[in-house]
Amino acid sequence: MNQEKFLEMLASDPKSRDPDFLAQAEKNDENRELYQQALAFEDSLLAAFNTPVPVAIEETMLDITKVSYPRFGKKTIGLLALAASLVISVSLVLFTPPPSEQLAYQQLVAHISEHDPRDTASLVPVSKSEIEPYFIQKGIELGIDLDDLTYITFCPVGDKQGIHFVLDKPEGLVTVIFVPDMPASRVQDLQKEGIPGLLAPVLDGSAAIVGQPGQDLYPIANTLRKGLHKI
Amino acid sequence: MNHEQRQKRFARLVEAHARDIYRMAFWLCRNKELADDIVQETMTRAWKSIDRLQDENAAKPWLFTILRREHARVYEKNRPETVELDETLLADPDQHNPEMQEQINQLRKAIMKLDEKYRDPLMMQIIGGFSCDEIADQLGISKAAVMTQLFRAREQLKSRLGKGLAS
Repeated sequence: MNQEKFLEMLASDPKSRDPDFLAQAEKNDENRELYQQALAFEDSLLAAFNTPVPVAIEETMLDITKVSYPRFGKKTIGLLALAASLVISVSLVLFTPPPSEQLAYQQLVAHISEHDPRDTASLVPVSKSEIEPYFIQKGIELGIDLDDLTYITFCPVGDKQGIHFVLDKPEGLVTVIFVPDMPASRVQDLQKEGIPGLLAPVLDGSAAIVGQPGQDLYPIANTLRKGLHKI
Repeated sequence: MNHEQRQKRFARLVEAHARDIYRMAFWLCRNKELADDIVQETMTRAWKSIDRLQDENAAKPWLFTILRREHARVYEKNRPETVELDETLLADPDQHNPEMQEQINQLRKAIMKLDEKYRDPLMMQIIGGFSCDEIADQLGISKAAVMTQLFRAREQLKSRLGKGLAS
C-alpha cells in the first residue's frame, strides 16, 4: 500500500484490520504517530455517538411481543384505518398525564427543591429490618441487597410515605426517594444547577434519583426497576 | 416457529442491538421524542416479520435497514425540526474528565451539523460497526463513494473542532 492510499484509509476507515494498512501504519515514526492520532479521534467519535439510552429500553421493546398482530384482508383495512384514527384521537387525549400524576410529580419536585435530598443530617435513619415489612405492606418484593445501602429512612412526600435511600456508588453517593403509590408514566429530567436528577416510573410508583455532577443515573433507575417486584 | 420460539429469538435481538438501534435512531433524527417513536415502530415491524430473518448473524443490518426505512417514511410525511443538544443529552452514560467531556460535547455539536450524506455512513461505521462494504450495500452506493464520504465526514469534524465552529 502506498502512502497516499494509507492516508486515505486512515481518514475513512482507521480501524481497518487490513494487513497492508497495518503494515504501512508501522512503517515509520511519522505513520505511527498519525495512526495513533487517528485511533484517538475514533475513541472520541465513539464517545460522542454513545448518547444516553432511555431506561429499560429492552423491556419496552419486549412488550411489543405481548401484542398479537393479526393479518387482515384488503376489505377490512379501510374500516380498520377509520377505527385506528378514532383510537389515536382518544389516545391523544388520554396520553396527557392525569391530574393526580401531575400533582404527584409537582410534590416530588417540590420535596427535592425544598430539602436537598443529599443532606441526611436532619433525617433519622431506620433499621433495615423495618424496611422490608413496609415494602411487603405495599405489595412489593425487595430484590435489592439492603447491605449495599448506606442510609435508609422513611420520608413524607406530600401526603404519601416514601423511602429515602442513599447508595454508595463508585462515582459518588446517589440519593433515591421512592414513593410506591405516586405514579409516573415516563422518565423526566430533574437536573438542577448541574446536579443530575431523574424521575423514573418504578412499578406503580415513582423514584426521584439525585446524584453527583457528571453522574449517569439511568443505570441506577434500571437497577431499581429490576430490583423491585410486585408480590 | 411457534410464538415462544419467536419471542426468544426477538429477545436475543433486543438484548444484542437495542441500545445501538436507539442511538442510531437518535442520530438519524436528532430528536429524542421522534427517536422513541421510530424505534418503537422499527421494533414492531421487526417483530411482525421476524420469521423472514433467515440468518440471525444478519440481524443487525436487517434491523438498521428497517430503522432507516422507517425514518425515511416519517421524514417524508413531515420534516420534523431537529433540536439543539440539551443538557440531558449531554449527561453522559460514561464518566469522563471535564476536558474530555467538553471535547465530546463539541464533537456532538459538530456531528449534528454534518450534512446527512456524510453523517449517515459515519453513524453506520461507528454505532453499527459496519465495514465499508456493508455500508455500501445498505446505502446502495459504491464502496469508493462510502470511503469518500467517511473521509469528508472526519475532515469536516476535525476542521470544525479546530476552528472552534462547533459551538
